[in-house]
Amino acid sequence: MQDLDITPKMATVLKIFLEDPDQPRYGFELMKLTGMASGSLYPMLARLEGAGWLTRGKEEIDPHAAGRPPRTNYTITGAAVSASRVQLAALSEHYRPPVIGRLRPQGSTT
Amino acid sequence: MTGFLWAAFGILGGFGMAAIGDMVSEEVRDRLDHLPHAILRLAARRLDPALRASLYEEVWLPDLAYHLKGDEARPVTRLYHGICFAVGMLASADRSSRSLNGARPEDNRPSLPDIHEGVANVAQAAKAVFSPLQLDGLGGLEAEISGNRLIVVGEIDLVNVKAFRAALLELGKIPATTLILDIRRVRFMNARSVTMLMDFAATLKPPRRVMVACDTGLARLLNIATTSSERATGQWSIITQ
Repeated sequence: MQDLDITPKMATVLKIFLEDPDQPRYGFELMKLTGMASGSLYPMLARLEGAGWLTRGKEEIDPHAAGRPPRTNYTITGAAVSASRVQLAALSEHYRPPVIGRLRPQGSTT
Repeated sequence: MTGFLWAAFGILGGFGMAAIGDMVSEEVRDRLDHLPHAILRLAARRLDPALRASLYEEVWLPDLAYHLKGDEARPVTRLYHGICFAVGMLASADRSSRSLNGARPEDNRPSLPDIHEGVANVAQAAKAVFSPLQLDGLGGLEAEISGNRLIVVGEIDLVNVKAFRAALLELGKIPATTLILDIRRVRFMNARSVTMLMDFAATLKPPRRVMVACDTGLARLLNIATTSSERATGQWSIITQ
């Protein structure tokens, strides 16, 4: 598995995978959940897959009954779960706004 | 008589025009339905030939079919979504190719620290052994209980310090004299988490105690944070590795 620099958009996608790491996710579902266009989402999925963060699976349907071919789904790998948790925490810390001034108890004069 | 003939011609002409209109409409609808597929085929041409089957046939086409099938009852929405999807692919085909091509040769090369691989192996092979604690997605903490040992992995910072406290509470519930807090794979602890650890040690009734397994960096931090009198109570000790 390769190390990746997590962008805010990528963090949005990873956060969905982390909500239930065992749950396979579909491109169409991710587009709806993230509000991202196909042109942003699919290259990102390809990148995460190429780096070993996601694995591909096949939708279990009968193509004849469904009238369409089975879709590809993606599942986050075990190693990527811990790596993305660490990186998301770091990203969250990075974007945390600075604290201005100090908080004092109500009524305190010093 | 002439008026009757004209009326008959008019009615027949009306039926004829309606039929032709239907045929034209069906033809146009059929052709427009193929437009997203045509754009997607164009996008596939921009892919690396080695990836064409893998991406175009296994990912893009089934997803487009799903888009079009899902909006079956609404032709205009279906067409709009289909075209948007296909145009996005056309614009990003190069990036998808580069993402997969650039990464493939390195797929088997382990490049992340052992910590991640270790966690992955544990998660996959020993789910029954460990009881994962409540972890939230963003800023969650990897923490697992095994016997009298609490193993924590990652960084303990502002966003997951509450998870650390929850983990310590779980450790405190274990009815053992010596509790072990294994933070050898923790790379960072904030000041609040150190205070929590000391408070936790103080709540243990002797002879119960907590042993902290950590690296020398964190040991220094813990030693600096506590006074010698606190360490002398014997409720906690540090083992470095």
